[in-house]
Amino acid sequence: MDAGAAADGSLAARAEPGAGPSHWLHGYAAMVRWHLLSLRLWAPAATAIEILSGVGMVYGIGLLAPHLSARGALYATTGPAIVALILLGLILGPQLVAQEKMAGRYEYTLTMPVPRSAAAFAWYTVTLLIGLPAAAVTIAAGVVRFGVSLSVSAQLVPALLLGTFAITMLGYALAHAVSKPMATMLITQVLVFVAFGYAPINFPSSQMPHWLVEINRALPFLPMATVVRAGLTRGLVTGVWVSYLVLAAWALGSAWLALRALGRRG
Amino acid sequence: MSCRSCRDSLGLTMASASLAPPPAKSASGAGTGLTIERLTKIYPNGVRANDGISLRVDAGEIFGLLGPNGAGKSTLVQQVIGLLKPTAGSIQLGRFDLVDDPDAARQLCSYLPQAPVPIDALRLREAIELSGLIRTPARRARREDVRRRADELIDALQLREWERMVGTRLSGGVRRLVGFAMAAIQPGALTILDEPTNDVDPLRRRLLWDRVRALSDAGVAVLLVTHNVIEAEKSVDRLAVIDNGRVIAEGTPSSLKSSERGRLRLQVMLAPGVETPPMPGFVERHLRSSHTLLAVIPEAAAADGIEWAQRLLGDGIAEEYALGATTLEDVYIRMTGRVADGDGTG
Amino acid sequence: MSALAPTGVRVPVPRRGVARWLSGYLQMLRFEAASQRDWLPLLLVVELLIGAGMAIMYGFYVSSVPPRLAAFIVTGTPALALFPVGFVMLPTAIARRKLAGSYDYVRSLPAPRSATIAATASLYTVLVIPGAAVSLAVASWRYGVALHISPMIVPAVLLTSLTAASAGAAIGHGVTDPMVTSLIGNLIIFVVLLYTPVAFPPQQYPAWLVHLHELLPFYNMAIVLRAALSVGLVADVGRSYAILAAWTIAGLAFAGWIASRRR
Repeated sequence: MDAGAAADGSLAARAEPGAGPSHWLHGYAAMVRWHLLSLRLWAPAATAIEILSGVGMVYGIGLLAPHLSARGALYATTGPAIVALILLGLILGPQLVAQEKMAGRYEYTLTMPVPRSAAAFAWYTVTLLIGLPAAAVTIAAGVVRFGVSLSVSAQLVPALLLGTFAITMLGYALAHAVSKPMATMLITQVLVFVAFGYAPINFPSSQMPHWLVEINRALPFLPMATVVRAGLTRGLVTGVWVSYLVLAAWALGSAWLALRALGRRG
Repeated sequence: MSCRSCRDSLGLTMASASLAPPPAKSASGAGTGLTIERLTKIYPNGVRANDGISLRVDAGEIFGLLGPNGAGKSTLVQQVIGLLKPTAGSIQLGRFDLVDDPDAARQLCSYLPQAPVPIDALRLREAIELSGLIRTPARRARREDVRRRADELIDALQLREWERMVGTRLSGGVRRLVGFAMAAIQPGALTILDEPTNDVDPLRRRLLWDRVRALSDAGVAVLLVTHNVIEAEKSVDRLAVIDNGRVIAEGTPSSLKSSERGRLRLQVMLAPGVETPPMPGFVERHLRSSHTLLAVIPEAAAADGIEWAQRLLGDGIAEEYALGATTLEDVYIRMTGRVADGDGTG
Repeated sequence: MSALAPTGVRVPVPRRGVARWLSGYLQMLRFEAASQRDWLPLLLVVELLIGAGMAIMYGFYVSSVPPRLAAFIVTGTPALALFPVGFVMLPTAIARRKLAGSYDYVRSLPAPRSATIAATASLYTVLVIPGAAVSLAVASWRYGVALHISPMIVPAVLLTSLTAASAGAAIGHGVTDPMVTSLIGNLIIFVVLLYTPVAFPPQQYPAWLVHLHELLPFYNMAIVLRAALSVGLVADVGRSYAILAAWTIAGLAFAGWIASRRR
């Protein structure tokens, strides 16, 4: 009768919910696949947008501020890649979720039997895969355009990983914790706007009013820029350890908010 | 209760050969059915969507939830799968409390929502296989098994020709079937289907019901939400009629129809634009829904009913008529006071 | 008529001609005003952000702001405020309708297509003015630049707002995929904010880019507004008016044509 049952024990109905690291890893790997396949249409476009925005920013800054000092040039070279990553983490993810919500498909992903933290980490992984190569291209473009030389150090790795994590989790939290999709899109676009123009990422903080710089020390953008720049230059930035702390705080806070929102029931 | 073992001996489980025997027989885990007790859900705006609903779905049983739009059916199933939190009441699946442990709910139950599944960029086959992979416990997930099971479902639902097509290019009905397959590939202890046959063509509807029966034969408890009374009658083992957040009737289709024993249904299609004709005395109740007039008459008045209908035809008031046994729809109409939503075909 | 309405409901007679167009226009104007009500505060905020916000931001990107540059930035501000409305907000509003499924519903209303487009365009033209004005005031205060406002400000504002609204209608109706709409919108904003001589003098830009922008609407919008707000900063404003008029008509015509096609 059940001829295939013995050979096919793996498809027995679940008698117990899964738990433990193997369950988490399984869910994580499956969600990475799910996201990559679902983004099949959009991942190449997202990468292209990332590169275009990054490189576009580099050359655009060159037009806005034609006479850059050596210091200014270093900022203009390293800044755009960071803003591009912020654009990716804060806009792309939330926009995709907002899209799903508006089309009424969001509910389905909430019913998938994957631990919430694994799903979040899978999303972060996909963001890295799309964002890091584009960031590299952007920095290269800056070097070409402004003729600066960078001193890359090992610090760059944790800086990029943590920075991207913080931004991605913030985007994730905004996408899931804010119930109205239009509100999410609005907030994230405002944030990117702030990151582009009201955070001293693409230009030195001396060009901004002091009080604005102080506010930025508490937001995630300036700390992220500081730690990444510390991995790309020597002696340009200060306050690196404090920046790591602030960034970590944002990362954990956003992740907590996002997971709590995902687990909440109406 | 339902007679699973009878069906088994008739070899009707061949189609579900690759699903392992249900854990219900081992009396552990989640395999002993769903029990909902006095479930109440009051939304923040004060709407009482579910009001003290109690019901039970056994392993291997197909249980239908029938009711008009806004009755609270989707709210009920959303609480089972953990998307909504009940205001009061309990939901138990085997030894698991689904209200306390929504994570367990997601892992023990599979769900086909009313809304379209988000598979825009995924190919049909990818979506089903990936769903199988996600839904299978890590320690027992093997690609070949998932692939084989996906093949079975694709063949059984006749989806082979769209296997490699991405979601955006699939029609609504095919997409629905894919959503069903994504749940059925690893049904868990309880499968929740919210309007599974919406948009599906009549041929494939039959195939889908066969698959649902195969699931229940393998020991899965199936909770089905539907508007389609006529389909429900043929496919479920037991059902509950829900209206205004409450269960107003529960039982097998036959037991519910027994209240209509001794009666016949006279269905008259009226010509456009005519007023409802006066009802002769033998008509017990009637309902007009646009051009259709549904009258319930006692069996003894069958000949009178036909004569009356033929007179209406002769006078040009009616275009056609049909006399037949009362259906579940008549019970439904009597209880809810309205005609079931949906196309009523199947 | 009574044969079509057996239950006694009066079926309206289809009308033709100018009277119908006008009544359709007014109907749609009322409908749009009601359905876009929740967009109003958003519009204002976005205009302020991109208008005054960008103007102030440009100041951070350069190490110093000499008076002539300040004058350019300030007089370019109202144009900046209008761009997001035309190229992001309006297309997004239309796209949102498509996603929610009410786009086809609006299409099935009895008003003529051109009247619907005209209603949307005129409504937005009026709605954008406060945001642009406030942005201008903020920028002028921040950079300490005095404005010389001439009567030309009226046609300047009306034409540029209309150009933005018609562009929005064209993109919103013309693009089928809402994600693409959003993408185009963001792309345009990005390009405009960095690569258009709106806030900075054209001398800073490569000649080929300036020539390109003399044909596109963005730079011309800035020129038209700048001419009405200052003295001596703009040479040939007539040409810009002509180009904007051409873009406006093209945009509205395209939108009208797209909206009336039956799929």
